[in-house]
Amino acid sequence: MSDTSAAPAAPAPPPFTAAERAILDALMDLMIPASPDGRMPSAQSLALYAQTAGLTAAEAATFRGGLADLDARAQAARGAGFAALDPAAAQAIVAALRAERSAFLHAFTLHTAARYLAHDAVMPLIGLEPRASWPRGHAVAEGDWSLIEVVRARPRLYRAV
Amino acid sequence: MNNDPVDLLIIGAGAAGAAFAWSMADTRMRILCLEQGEWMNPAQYPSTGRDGELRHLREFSFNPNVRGRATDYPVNGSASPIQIANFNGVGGGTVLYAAHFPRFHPSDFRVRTCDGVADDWPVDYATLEPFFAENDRMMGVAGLAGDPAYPPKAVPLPPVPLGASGERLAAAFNQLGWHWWPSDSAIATRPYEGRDRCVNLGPCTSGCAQGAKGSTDITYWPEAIRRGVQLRTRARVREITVGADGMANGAVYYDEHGREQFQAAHVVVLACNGIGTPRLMLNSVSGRFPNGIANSSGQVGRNLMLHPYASVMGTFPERLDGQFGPAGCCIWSQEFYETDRARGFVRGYTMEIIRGRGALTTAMNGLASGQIPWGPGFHEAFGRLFAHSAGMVAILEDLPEAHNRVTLDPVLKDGDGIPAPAIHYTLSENSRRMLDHAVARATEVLRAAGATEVHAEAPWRAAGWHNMGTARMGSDPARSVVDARGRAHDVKNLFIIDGSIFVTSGGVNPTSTIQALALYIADGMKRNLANLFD
Ligand SMILES: Cc1cc2nc3c(=O)[nH]c(=O)nc-3n(C[C@H](O)[C@H](O)[C@H](O)COP(=O)(O)OP(=O)(O)OC[C@H]3O[C@@H](n4cnc5c(N)ncnc54)[C@H](O)[C@@H]3O)c2cc1C
Ligand code: SF4
Repeated sequence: MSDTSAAPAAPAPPPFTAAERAILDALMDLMIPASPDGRMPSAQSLALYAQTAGLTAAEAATFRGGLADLDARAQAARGAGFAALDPAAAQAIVAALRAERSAFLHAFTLHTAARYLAHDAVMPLIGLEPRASWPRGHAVAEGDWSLIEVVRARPRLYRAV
Repeated sequence: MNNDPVDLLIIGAGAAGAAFAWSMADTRMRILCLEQGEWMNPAQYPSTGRDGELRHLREFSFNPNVRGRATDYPVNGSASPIQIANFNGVGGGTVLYAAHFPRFHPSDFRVRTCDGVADDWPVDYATLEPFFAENDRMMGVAGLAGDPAYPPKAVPLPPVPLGASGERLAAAFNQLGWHWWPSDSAIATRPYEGRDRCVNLGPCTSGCAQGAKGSTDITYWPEAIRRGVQLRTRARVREITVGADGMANGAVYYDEHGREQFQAAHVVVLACNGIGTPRLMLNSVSGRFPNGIANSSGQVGRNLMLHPYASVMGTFPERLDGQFGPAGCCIWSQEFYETDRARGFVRGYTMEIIRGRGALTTAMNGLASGQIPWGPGFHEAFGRLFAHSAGMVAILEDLPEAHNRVTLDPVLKDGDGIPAPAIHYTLSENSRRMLDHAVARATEVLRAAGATEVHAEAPWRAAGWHNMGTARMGSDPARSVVDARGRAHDVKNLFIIDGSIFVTSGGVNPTSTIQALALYIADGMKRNLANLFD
């Protein structure tokens, strides 16, 4: 059986460099910091980008290009790398990317949210078992079917033609 | 490659192609189906992994432009507020569909008679009824008999569970005195014909790893193949060819290596869906048909109907866990289905309850809409929405308008260099008013159910998954493309069996009616084999 549904078999792209990871850490801190009550961990603390598995080669290229661009923008605006910016300056650059509908920002948001919400440490905190849905599935209550009786008693709704 | 001539060549192995092939297998004709996509492997579907939602938004996206598989064709949607959604593979759109399985109503086939708009169909509900019933059995439909919104009908399997979201919304509909009923769903709620029962994985719209959802790769196709039908995958048809006698004589296609092939056939049947079929017809240019095959009327590609959707979600104080269970199939309401001119529009819509959305989808939707911010507020906003949201979509009947159409894009091409479709679509004033009505009524019922916040998107941009009307049926060859039996007015041995031939769109999901129509056309062909070309 041929199969287009298989996950891409390509090897994981090369890991991010330390400099790239520093920018990713700064971005993650902007997007998902720890919750004020400390219950939810920050995305950065979970080292979500320690591995590149799960990114396609094209996505990894988008990430690398986007990270380099962020640094260039930071240098141009503040004469410092993005990772060294204060939060307000970093936010301003992110807001500009958002206005430009940046493909990198979309990819970063998607992968960060995906990695965070499916993390072993996070799933139980949002009320999910840390496992794939299949094969065990989930229980859903039948609910109160007596509610239907009043509808069943209604006269015909469809038009005769 | 063995391209020996066949009696019957079907193009497209989706909902319609599968049902038609299965039915025609009775004839013992040499039947071949060419399909550009591949067989799916349910063991690889997203719900088998922790990264399931991410894969759903990428290689299992509804949108072929996002998915970008080699087996997809791109669609230029820049001139439409609604983006085309589909799947290209054995099973077609049913691989990703939500499996909502409503039938059209009797009045849907008599729109001009009832409401003085559009056209009546040349077939009616009573004629299609046995084919609806046969299709329900083959697809394995769950539901509950006795719905006052429909003529009496049997349902093979018990309904999908209400769950917390369904129960809440059902009580709210009762409070307002509005109709609701458990959705007819092509979902095995009990083991059925070799299919395992639904285990509530969640979003059926990324493929059902459990095999509970009735997609045609696991319903009709195994049966059809067992009965002798041949299915050739990775075969992308470029054009239908015609002979000197004006009859279709086969198809030129590209195999998986991109090599051009020719398949000869005595009868050609198109089942490429409401976008793929007009695209193929417009690409099939010859001396006899300079504007595309069977297009003397100029109607091929026109009258595109997409079912504008309103998506209206509410946030509830308590946990509903609507991310589990068939997301799209729960209960529906047809309170506003039949025309009431006092509402300011003709025709109507169905409300279909959405149980909830997965964690990543909740986050991405919330971040995009501004309901979830970046920064410290992320957690509080996400926690308020996730597992606490339920809502509905309203599916509007879209009326045919000639300017809503599929054309060939002058630049965009698929991986084999075949011109891709471009969509030209605007919302009508009737649809705009209906959308406003639907959002207001959905908000009312969500508030009655206890929603503290309501968020609407209308039209829902991503929801172009019902593609109809682009090669419509009719008795007048100047105004339609095929006759009441699906045969092209211009080409005696060319048939069309997918949603392209719909005259109007109804206000319900179309697949049950597409397949009933395909079975009806097959039945007509079988009865008339000796005189098929008269
Ligand atoms: C996300 C999603 C959710 C949906 N939910 C529902 C729902 O709940 N209920 C409902 O009723 N409907 C739903 N639908 C719509 C449903 O999938 C379609 O109505 C149905 O599949 C249409 O059937 P069809 O046979 O006309 O076309 P399809 O099922 O789309 O099949 C067409 C086939 O033709 C092939 N093809 C096209 N062009 C060529 C070519 N040139 N050469 C070779 N092969 C070709 C394609 O690869 C495809 O496999 C949904 C669709 C999507 C995408
Ligand atoms: S909810 Fe049921 S039908 Fe839907 S994917 Fe899961 S098991 Fe399949």
